[in-house]
Amino acid sequence: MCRKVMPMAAAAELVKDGQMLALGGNALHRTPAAYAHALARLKRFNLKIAGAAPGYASDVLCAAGAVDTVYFGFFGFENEYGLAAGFRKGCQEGRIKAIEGS
Amino acid sequence: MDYTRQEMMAIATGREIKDGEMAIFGVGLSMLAGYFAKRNHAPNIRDLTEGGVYGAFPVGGLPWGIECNRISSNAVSFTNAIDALGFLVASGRCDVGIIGAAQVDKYGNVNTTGLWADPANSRYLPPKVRLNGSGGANEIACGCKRFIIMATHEKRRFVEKVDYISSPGYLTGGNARDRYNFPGGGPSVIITSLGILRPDPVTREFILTEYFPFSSVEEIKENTGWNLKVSPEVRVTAEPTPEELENLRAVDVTGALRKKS
Amino acid sequence: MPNKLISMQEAVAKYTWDGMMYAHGAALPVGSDSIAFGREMVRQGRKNLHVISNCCTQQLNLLCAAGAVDKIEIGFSGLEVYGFANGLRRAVENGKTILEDYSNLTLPLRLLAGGMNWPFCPTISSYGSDQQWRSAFHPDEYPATSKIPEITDPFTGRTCGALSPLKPDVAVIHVTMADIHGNAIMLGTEWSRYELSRAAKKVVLQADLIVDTACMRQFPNLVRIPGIVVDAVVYWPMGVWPQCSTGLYDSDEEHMFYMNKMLKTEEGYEEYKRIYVDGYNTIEEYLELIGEEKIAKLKNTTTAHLMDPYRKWIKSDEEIEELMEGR
Repeated sequence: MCRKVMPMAAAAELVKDGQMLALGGNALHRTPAAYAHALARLKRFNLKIAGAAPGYASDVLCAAGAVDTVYFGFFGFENEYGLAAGFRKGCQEGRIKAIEGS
Repeated sequence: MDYTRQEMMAIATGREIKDGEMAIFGVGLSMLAGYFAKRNHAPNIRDLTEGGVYGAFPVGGLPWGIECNRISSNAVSFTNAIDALGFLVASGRCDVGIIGAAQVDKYGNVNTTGLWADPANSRYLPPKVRLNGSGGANEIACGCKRFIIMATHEKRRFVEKVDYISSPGYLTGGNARDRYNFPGGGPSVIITSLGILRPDPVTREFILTEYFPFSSVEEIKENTGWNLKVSPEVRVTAEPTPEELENLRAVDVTGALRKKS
Repeated sequence: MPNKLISMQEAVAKYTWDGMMYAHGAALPVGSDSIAFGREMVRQGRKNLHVISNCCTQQLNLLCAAGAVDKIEIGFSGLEVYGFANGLRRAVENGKTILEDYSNLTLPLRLLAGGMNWPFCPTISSYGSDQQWRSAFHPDEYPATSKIPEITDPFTGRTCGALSPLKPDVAVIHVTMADIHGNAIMLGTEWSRYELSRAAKKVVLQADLIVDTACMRQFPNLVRIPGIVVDAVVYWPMGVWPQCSTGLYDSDEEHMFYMNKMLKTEEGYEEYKRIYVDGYNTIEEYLELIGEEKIAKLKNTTTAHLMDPYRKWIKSDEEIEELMEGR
């Protein structure tokens, strides 16, 4: 098998403007936070996020202004951590289109 | 000749697989051909069997089946039928698959289901000879970007029309597959025990393009149940190289391909 | 959670009946199917079965040879490198058993649809071939319209096939190890056991090993069949013989060929039944029938390392007996 290990910055470069992106984990559990930070630094635009319960990593990208659409069943942090602020702000300001499923 | 007909067939099949491809192998001869390719010239193929056994290489000889311990000894992942045949094959993601055939017709339709006394009868009667059914070959035929058919070259197997289409080739020829929106592209080649047939790009009828060193155009035509067309560029297949034979025999450690010829 | 351990005789008496829709194994043809359970069904004379079988195994081969099967729905009906399944072949060719063909994906998809309680499942395989056009259950329909009807995708307008859901009355599934509550770990490919365990109305596990629940708490990710979907657990070591149980024993090549040869004829079947179906009453007698030397050879498997993490939780025969009595 070929080796697939690469630096974080190189992995972030794989995502281009306008692509649909799914990040693992849910809410505050096992979302790839460091990857989201690296991707946010690249200032991508018009990303579409898809996930059953997107969480912290997806919210970072929403807050960074990288996302224009989210397909989701539940988008929040649960319990005392409350709502996902970046996503919520984006929706309320009309920057992010929220497509809700279950 | 220091190789058997079955070995020539396995090596010719293995040569069809390119490095880096995602490839699914059936049980028996097709598995030997596939793992031969991996060892010989395609170390980076992403090989799988329909059982969802990934990253494995057979130990102790030809596995008796897809769930045989000979293929379960060194896997990196065990999943399941829906994963292997669904997510990876029927989805259209897999590049190439290898399947066997009890009967195959001029459009590459494969029968592994049964033989009937009166196949044209539209009433479904019990088969005269019950075969194995399609297993995962139907998914390979519908989903893989291309697939390879392996069959013993005999008149009763190479027929004008198969008794039952277990795994679809080009159906009635031409663009007939388009009607069904299959993700896969259809059979790219039939590797027989005597030579190699490839489809005409327009009619999709299989024509003879190569004959093995121990065979001839005449022998192949005689053993085909339809009026087999011969490519103007028909040529003899390159003999197995010593290296190819060594790599094949490293997979076929019990000599399954050397006993039968 | 209740203790679900019951004896083989009890399990067959309680969970099987004539005319039922019976699903076995969801194993590949040479793989770990609940074959000992099938032997007990033959011992108890079950008949007129409608069998749901992802793949044929020696269990279905035996049930067919016994004349116990009226209908089969199946993805693959041979024994791979061991050849055609002679008992099944004989029953199908003489018209006793009606066999409806699907593929190795569409049969599990029908179980998925049954488990999900979907009205149907779309498919692009078993479609556009005789698996769609010809039906053994509806022999006069051509092309068949009720087996895999064509439907239109409401999003794209393109066509595909529709598979009907399957909900077997009972599924009997072999697992490598189970606890007394029915939590189970399977080594090797899962094939379609996961979907089957959710599709069937009742689930009986046949386990090679009984382990302490602490084992499940150590590896909860690997418990793909949890006790909440299981009704009963039967302990039967070497219960897949002559096929293989990954991690524990290899297939018995000699007996695979012998059994299949015997099932080819009525007389051969009677002889096989006398020795290998009626010839034992207890687990000890069953193991004696296989033979100590043979068992040692089969257990010398190249997959043995797969068992290493679990050994400390394995219950001894004495402990299992106590658990059975303490129910």
